[in-house]
Amino acid sequence: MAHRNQIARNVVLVLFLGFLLLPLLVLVAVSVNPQVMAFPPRGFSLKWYAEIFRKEEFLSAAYSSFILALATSALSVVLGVLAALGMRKLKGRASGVVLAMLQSPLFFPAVIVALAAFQIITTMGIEVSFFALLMAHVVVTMPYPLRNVLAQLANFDSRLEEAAMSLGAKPITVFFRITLPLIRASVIPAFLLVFVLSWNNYTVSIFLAGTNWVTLPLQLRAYLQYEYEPFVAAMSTVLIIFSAFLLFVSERFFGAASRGQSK
Amino acid sequence: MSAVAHSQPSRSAALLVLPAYVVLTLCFFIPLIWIGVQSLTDARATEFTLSLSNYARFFSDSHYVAGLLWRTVWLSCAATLLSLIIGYAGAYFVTRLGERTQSTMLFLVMCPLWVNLVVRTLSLMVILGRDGVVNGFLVATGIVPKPIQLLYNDWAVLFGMVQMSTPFVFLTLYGVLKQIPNELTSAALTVGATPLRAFARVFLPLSIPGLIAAGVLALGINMESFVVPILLGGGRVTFMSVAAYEMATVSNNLPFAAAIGMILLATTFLAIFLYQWAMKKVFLSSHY
Amino acid sequence: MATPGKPISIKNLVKRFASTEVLQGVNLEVKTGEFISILGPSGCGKSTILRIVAGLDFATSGEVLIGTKAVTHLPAWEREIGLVFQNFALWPHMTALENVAFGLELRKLSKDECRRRALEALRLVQLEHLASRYPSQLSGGQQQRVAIARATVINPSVLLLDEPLSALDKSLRKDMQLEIKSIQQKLGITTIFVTHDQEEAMSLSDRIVVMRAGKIVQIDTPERLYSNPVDRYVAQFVGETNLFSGHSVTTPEGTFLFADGHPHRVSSPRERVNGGDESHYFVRPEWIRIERDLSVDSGVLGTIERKVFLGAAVDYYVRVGERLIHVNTVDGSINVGGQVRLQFVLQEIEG
Repeated sequence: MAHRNQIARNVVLVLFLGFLLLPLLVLVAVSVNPQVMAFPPRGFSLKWYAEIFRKEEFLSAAYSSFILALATSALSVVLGVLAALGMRKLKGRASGVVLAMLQSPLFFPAVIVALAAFQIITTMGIEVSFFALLMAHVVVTMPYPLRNVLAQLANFDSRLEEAAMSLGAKPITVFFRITLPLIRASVIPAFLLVFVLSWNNYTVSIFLAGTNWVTLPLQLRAYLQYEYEPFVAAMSTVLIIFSAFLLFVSERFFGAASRGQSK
Repeated sequence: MSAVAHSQPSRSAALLVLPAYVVLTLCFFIPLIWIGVQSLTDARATEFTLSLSNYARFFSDSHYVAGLLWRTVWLSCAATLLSLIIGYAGAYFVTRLGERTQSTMLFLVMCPLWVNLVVRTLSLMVILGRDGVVNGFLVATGIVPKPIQLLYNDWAVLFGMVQMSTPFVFLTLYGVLKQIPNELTSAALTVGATPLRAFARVFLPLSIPGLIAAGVLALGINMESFVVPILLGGGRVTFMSVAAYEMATVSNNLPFAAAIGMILLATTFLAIFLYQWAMKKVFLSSHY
Repeated sequence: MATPGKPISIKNLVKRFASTEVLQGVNLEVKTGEFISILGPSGCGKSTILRIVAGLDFATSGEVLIGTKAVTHLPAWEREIGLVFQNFALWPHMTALENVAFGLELRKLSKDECRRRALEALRLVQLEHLASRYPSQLSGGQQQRVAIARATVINPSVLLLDEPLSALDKSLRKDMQLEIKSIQQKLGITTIFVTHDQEEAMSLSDRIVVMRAGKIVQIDTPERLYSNPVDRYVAQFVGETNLFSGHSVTTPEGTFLFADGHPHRVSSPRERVNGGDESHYFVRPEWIRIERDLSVDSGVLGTIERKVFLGAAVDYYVRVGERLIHVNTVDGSINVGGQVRLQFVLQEIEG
């Protein structure tokens, strides 16, 4: 009886995982195909990967994405952590209202944020495009570190801070020597998450495509138009590996805290 | 509670929350209002007047309402429903695994989330394309004489949306389902319920709050879909977000684009509200 | 080297939270070097007083003085206090030594000096050999000793302990009680110890403050608290007791209280007008003498209904009429069902 359940369970799980992951694996398979068409691939070749690094636009787009993602993460995490720490001190209804407000970007279609950023650029000129892009990314990603840190703070024993105060530590000292080291477990995964979100962002970035800032996802889509499939697949595989690696680091070293789970 | 100055923890709290609040106000709320105002202007007007012309234009044209808005809504709802079913099944069975396997499973499910959506959608294009896996299989086994058009239609977009939102649904449901103590189902078994009954009468009702949360999340994500329709729809499947984009960049009609955005926003909120209301009405009535 | 402790003065402390008065005008004077316990059930406000003295909470009105300095409006880090928490509150990302040295580092001592003094504090609690361990690698008792070392190493004028031993096993608790007391006496720090365990309070304190619902009910030495409770609440809270109520009658042979159909002798310390409000009396279980010879005239007759073996003594619950009288004695040879005579004198509870 239990055996039958196990079989059912395993079948469902295999199908489930297959549904989610097979497409990606197919992509990887295509990327090592020496020929342009035809699936299943005949042979094995890494020539498309070599192609990637010869593409000037790819490297510059990767660089743009990287800078943007880094800036977004730094800003987003700082704002989110500060807000989470502040919210901890607010009681009852006030904290509920503030939380709803700070999380509201999550409930608005990304298009709206993008339109707003687009609007700013058309009126204020292309020079502000990085700034507008950065702000749009920060707005969209900030709820994540806020939620993650808040979840970890829910389990945070304030007596650890009180003990420090009783020994003579001023609030600033308490923050840097006690609070911050102890919430590190949720701050670093939040940083990685925001980095990835910004790195992968397409919707907001596409609106600003006419500017100097072409991010990687945009470049990828452009390649779809005129590059061969295996080449795009190879680029995609590189991105897949990169993302999986970041996720692995986040999960491995920071486990449940990265999901904002404290249970 | 920690004391900063004499009984004024709220002052330091406000100071900490302020930067985030300021940034959000400047970069989100104000632009949001600006967009709202924009939607009330007419692109053709020479001077600044407020009018509902954009909205009138939208709702009076069946192409927009029936073709665009309705398609967005119905595809989103369908995708949400499917991802709820698939996600629930996945989450349910994952909670039946050993602890360590669960962590691995979580990692595997989260992988797609951290991979660029363009990449993920691209992989579907590869699979569903003329020379893709599915067609290759169908032709090779002789089910169809030549490759069929699988891409660039509503079904492809639906498939893509389900694929995209299922991980989110899974993660939300997993957290909730994991909290339901096994003893509750076991208790039902001991008083004579079959496993199916125990599931339907005990486990399922307890997971309703999770289904509500997951459904809200999925609805929101699906309604604002941009990448999936634009890539898998190939221009033939119009979606609200995509229409807004095209209006703004291609047609250079920002006010109309803004109007579309506002309508999308309102529709999303309405859909979420209705969903929550219906779920609570039907399933939760007296208990919570 | 150690600065001597300072006296604590709490004047008219009121704390209102939402619409409840958590503290209703508390007054307390603690002498230099004194060890006092605040005893009471959960919610009586004892922890609140401690937090207010510590500076982690602020009173709605009232004053707190440490020594001659009014600290009422000073935050915790500007008061010279040492605080020990119930759950130890050791910082998990620092070793035992770093935990103890933290307070010293704040006082701008050199790294070596901090280390030296921290090690010495750990030596005082016999944990020198575990200095480089992390809290997660220490047992409950060891963690608590580190917490004590951390609080005392900075030479506070006042030591505050908030139910520090509740999280420990019973046998460990007794050992820790002795350690805390000996450290306190050695350092001469004025100490406030909050607990809900009356045995603990009685064994450690110079004086005990009994609280209920935000008010102080009685402040006294353990002995006086035990033999002269000021009301029934204290009588019941501090130790086991048998309570009687009624009107006593004074006759030439002595004062008596009629209850359960028997006259009980009452020790009569003061003049009584017959009549008036009901008085309350009590007698501790170990003050009752069991007379097995039923022919003796004095004492009430009763039947043993229950017997509880405690190891060092025995509890008998003796049925006398409607009442079950609790007797505690060393003689465990009487069986349930046996009849005995109970000889005791009631003590009046005088507020």
